[in-house]
Amino acid sequence: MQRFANPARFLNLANAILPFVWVATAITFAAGLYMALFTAPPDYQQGETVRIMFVHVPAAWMALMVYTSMAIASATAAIFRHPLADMAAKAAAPIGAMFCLLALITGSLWGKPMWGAWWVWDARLTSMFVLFLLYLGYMAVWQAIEDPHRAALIARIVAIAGFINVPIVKFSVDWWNSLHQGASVFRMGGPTIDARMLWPLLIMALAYLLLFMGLLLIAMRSEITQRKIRQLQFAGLEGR
Amino acid sequence: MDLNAAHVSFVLAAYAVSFAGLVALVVFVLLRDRRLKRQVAALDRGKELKHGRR
Repeated sequence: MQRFANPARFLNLANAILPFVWVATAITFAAGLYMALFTAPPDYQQGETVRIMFVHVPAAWMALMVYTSMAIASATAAIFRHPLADMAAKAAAPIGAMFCLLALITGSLWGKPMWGAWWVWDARLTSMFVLFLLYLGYMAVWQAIEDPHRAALIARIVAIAGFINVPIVKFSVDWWNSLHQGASVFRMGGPTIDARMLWPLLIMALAYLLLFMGLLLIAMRSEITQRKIRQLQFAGLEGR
Repeated sequence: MDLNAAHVSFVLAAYAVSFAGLVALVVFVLLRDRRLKRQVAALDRGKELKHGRR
């Protein structure tokens, strides 16, 4: 881990990996979309509407995974003072927020024909909305506080404290009565979903994950560049 | 996919929103990266000119 603490080494690695990540993203998206729209069968109850699952579920999984990775990165920054950890958490936030927003919107588009309502304040939907607010709050901290060290400190607290919401989102359907269906993939006893639907779902999830990796590498590169700009501006002011 | 089935418009809307959201995200990340690269290059040039004058 410490080997990649050097920004220059990280940039070299990121630039070498990125083309492969983009190619893999394009291939998995093409395969996943083809399977989701053409080979997966309609559900015996939901009909064609079940196809919303292939964009909704990966977005929701990614929203949870990205926030978890932000909390881990923030803890790493706090404990080990890893110089790239804060950058990684900061770079991941807007990407996770977009995944969360997409999960909320596509969930609403799935809820209307199935439940007869665009939105209900049940445990899963509300906790997911809270997750979106946590993303916005985290990003607001970085925007609002000018001193980067102070911003990093407060952002770490937001990320780590907000992580309590992640298991609440995951287990909300088990702990409370909910209109939202229970887990059908990541559950004790294995997936209950048919393999013809499970594979497109997993491939779409992989496509979302690869997209996240590609975007995170670029966003971290941007953060390193921004730090360099700050240093150059500071040096310029001192030189006057 | 049967385009005449019930509620297909919701499915198409979900895919369209996801596509638009992800494309917007990619564009935002790439444009920011490009803008910052240009900014750092301009600052580097300014620094070189300053050192050249001395």
